[in-house]
Amino acid sequence: MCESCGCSPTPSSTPKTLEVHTPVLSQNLQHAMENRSRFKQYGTLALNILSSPGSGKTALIERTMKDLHPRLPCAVIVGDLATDLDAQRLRRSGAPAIQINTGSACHLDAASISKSAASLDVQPDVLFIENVGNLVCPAAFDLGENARVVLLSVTEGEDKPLKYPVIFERADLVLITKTDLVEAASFDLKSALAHLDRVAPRANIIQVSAKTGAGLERWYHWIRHEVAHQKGLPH
Amino acid sequence: MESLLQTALAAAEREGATRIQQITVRVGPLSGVLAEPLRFAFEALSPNHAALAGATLVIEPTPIRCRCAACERVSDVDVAHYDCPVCGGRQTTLVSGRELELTRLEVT
Repeated sequence: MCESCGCSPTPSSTPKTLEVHTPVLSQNLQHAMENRSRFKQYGTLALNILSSPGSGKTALIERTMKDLHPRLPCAVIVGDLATDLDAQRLRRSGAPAIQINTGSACHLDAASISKSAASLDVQPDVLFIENVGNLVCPAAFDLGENARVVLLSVTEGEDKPLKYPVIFERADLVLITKTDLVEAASFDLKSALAHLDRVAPRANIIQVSAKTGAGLERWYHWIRHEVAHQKGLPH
Repeated sequence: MESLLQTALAAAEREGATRIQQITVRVGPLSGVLAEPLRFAFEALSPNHAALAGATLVIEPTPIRCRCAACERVSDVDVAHYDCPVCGGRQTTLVSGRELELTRLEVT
């Protein structure tokens, strides 16, 4: 009993420290792990495609699916704040495309990928996940993908990797896109490669142009190699 | 932030606590999350929960730390400079910097 006023403090009023050590995004991580095991089960290679808005994600995926599908079955889940314009455009390749509208959210999360992937009639060999155009927030959200592909278009300038190092650091592959515009954009390829070597030392780097087709064979080779790996086939 | 608060509230409830006085989170520079927006979100959302009335948020920043494959030393490095500062080795593995973790709670 309290000596000053006679109240009886309840035992729980003494502050207690709880060591929790739980990732803040643990719910997203849980969904991501479920997605990853589902992709493994179906032999699907899931690629999280990341870049700023306008660096050519949709054009590259459209061209890639046109060239690979249906021999290598593809599908795409595309995230934008609004409209299904990208999904409409991607369907022209003949492969299924699912649009996710995030409203005001600046990234995709693992739960929405899980729902969209489950709604596909056929589980593809390659699932492209075109994230919301943004070089910041999508970096924090694991979608359960097998690899992260970050695009750097030559029109953005060679210093982008230095300005947004976090997203590049986690890239498995960096695609330098729109290489047909290298001269028009006065893009300094040598320093771009040096910057990438610094911020993304583990990433493969391939230069492509979805317009002229330059470099695409290397990108397709990389995809086929990763698909074989995901399916446990010799590669 | 809401998922952080939900995790905190669930952990407190499991211990039979009714009030959370302090929430400590560890945030790494490579987590994609900055301290200021995190504080802002905490101020905006915590009043929605009675158990969080008057609660404070403590942010413990973590360093970016790499282990070098060549010399096996662990060193603090800057963002975008992942080479080993001791031997210059290029093959390093990140051992800290991506944390975004609910670390501990002060509850009653």
